[in-house]
Amino acid sequence: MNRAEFLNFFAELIEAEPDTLTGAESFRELSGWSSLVAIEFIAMADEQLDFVVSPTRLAESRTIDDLIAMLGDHISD
Amino acid sequence: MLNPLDHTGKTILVTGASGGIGSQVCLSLSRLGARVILVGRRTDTLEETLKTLDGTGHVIRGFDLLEAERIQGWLRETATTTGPLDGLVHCAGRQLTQALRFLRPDDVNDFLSLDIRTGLCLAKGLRQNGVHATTSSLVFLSSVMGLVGHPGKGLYSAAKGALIAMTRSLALELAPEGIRVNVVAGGYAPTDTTRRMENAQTPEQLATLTERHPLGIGSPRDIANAVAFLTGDTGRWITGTTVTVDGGYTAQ
Ligand SMILES: NC(=O)c1ccc[n+]([C@@H]2O[C@H](COP(=O)([O-])OP(=O)(O)OC[C@H]3O[C@@H](n4cnc5c(N)ncnc54)[C@H](OP(=O)(O)O)[C@@H]3O)[C@@H](O)[C@H]2O)c1
Repeated sequence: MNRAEFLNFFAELIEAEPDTLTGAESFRELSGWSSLVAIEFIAMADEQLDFVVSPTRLAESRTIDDLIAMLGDHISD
Repeated sequence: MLNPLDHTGKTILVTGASGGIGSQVCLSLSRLGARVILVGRRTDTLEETLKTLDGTGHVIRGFDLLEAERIQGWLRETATTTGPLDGLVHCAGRQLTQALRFLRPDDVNDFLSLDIRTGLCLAKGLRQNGVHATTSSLVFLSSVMGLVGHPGKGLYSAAKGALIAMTRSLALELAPEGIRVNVVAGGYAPTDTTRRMENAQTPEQLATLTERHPLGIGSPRDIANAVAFLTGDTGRWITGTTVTVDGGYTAQ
């Protein structure tokens, strides 16, 4: 998955319009984000990217770009 | 010394014996003297559980319980080698927290199957002549989520509530055959599976979860003790009941 695909995936997750996210957004402040969306995000990272999200890393992440950084090599440029 | 929980001479089949709750149920029952038949798909993990058990004569039976149409024959075959069952504890199950908007219609049948379809087929299999002893105890593993609600638990609650509802009817149908049917509704008793799910929670959410259990969160041992009460002679006059073991979660 590349960065643009991830941003659109994230938009779908929070029920935002496609191509509206830049990555700089504080995801917890977006209206579609909730603890249940967090569960889905973690499940997706595990199933689709084979990445186990650490609760501390997630808690420390503020923006969508932080999430992309956390996913590291699993998101291509 | 009189011990009404003594399980000496009893043979009890435990599904989910490779899981957190089921492995503890096996251990507790073996410590009370029971011979245990351990069921799950991962036989290597069942071997690990087996190593922890007290006593001898325990048997491993690898089986995929989603193959419900095979359960009757498989239970008959099992009882032919082990002798009739004094109890069957259905701990195999799955955990799920999922917002409704991520639910796919196909998830529903898949998820309900292990509790409802398999649960009913286990009851049907146990009632066959020669599979159950003169008296036998069937115990299902439900959850407080079968009794009360929580966001994201719609499908999980449907499965766990169904176990509670079907327990009453099965108890009435199977009483003449000497089979008691009960269900344990557990509160949060962390296992490897639930710990993995904790990853999705913030520290505040975990603190709230703990607070919702007035006695604090539990352990698989608390659930296993309740199961043993129902499979032992202590449960002789108990059928059709939901035993809630939840540290006070549903008292509020
Ligand atoms: N832990 C809690 O806090 C808690 C609280 C209330 C209720 N419960 C209930 O207790 C039960 C067990 O929970 P747990 O925490 O012990 O879960 P777990 O550690 O994930 O164990 C699940 C067990 O189910 C077995 N299983 C799953 N699918 C199977 C299949 N198709 N065929 C055969 N076995 C299958 C697994 O065995 P294999 O993978 O080897 O097949 C495993 O042994 C569940 O019904 C759960 O809803 C748990």
